[in-house]
Amino acid sequence: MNCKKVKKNLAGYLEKNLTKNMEEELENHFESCPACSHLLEEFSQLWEALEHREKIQPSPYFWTRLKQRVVGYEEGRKPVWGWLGGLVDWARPAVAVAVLLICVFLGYSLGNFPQTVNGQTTSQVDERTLALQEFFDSHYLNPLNNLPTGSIEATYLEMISGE
Amino acid sequence: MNDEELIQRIIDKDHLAFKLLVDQYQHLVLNTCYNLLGNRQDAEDAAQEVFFQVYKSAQKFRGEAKISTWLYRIAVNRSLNFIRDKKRSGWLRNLSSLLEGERQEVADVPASDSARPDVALEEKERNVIVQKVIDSLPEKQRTAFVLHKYEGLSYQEIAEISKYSLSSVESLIHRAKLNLQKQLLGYLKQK
Repeated sequence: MNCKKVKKNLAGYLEKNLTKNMEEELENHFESCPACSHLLEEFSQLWEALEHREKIQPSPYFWTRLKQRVVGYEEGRKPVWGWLGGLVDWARPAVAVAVLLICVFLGYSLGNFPQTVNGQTTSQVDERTLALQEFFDSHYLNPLNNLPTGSIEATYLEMISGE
Repeated sequence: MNDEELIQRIIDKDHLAFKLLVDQYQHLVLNTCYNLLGNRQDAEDAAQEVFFQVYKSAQKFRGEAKISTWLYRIAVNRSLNFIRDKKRSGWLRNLSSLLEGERQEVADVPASDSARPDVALEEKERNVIVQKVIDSLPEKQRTAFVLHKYEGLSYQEIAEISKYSLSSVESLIHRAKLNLQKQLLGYLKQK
């Protein structure tokens, strides 16, 4: 047996997967070839490391981490209308329709506010706006009545007051 | 409680039953992932994924096979997906390891129990080499070899898990051993 054939059968030799005849041939070769004998020594250490790998242990937080993920997943799956889940089956559509009608009514009411009748603003908001406008005019525009006629300031005042 | 009852309780979102399953099988799943991935942190992440998938799709368990067979199958698939994803983002990892100045995998190999530092170092180096040669195996060979060698499964069980034929499993394991022998001899030649 030559060195090349020995190298091809090293793993088989260590795993005792060779025939008795082949095994004896290899052993005879190892006795007569120091290079292959040395190679067998080194190779067997690596093969041993390959055969017997250490088992690892899960981290102490394995379950805690997993449970957090599972709880997060379940909460994410709850529907927005989760509170409807507590109702009996027949009541769910009725409650959903009622909520929808309330929303439509509120939307319609808000859309029509403030209301006007015959061109007159009737809402409280517009009344307050008018009162503020009068207050502003009397306190800030009236003192400007004495501006020289034809000046830029007087012309601008005329433009904004609409007179 | 038998397998079917346990799975039914998990389908019903019973956390206690799920914890029972995790306690019973976490070593199996974690070490299968570890032997395929060769990295403790990746194995832990993959094992989390496996159990999360089990929780989400417990109803898919058909009771024809054992729970362990089902879990092995998910663990193998998850680990192989993990490897593919890592390969895709390989350039980023290489850049990161370049910046760190060392290979992370070395630190992930379990430390030796030996009292002598030189012996411990040699043992750690051997473990790194072993991991590298296992990593170099093609996916199918690696899966068959790991399940047979480290999980102690029979060829028949591996065939059920991987859905390969019995003769394919035999062939894959044989070729895996030849590849490993070749790689290890190559390393010794370079040394």
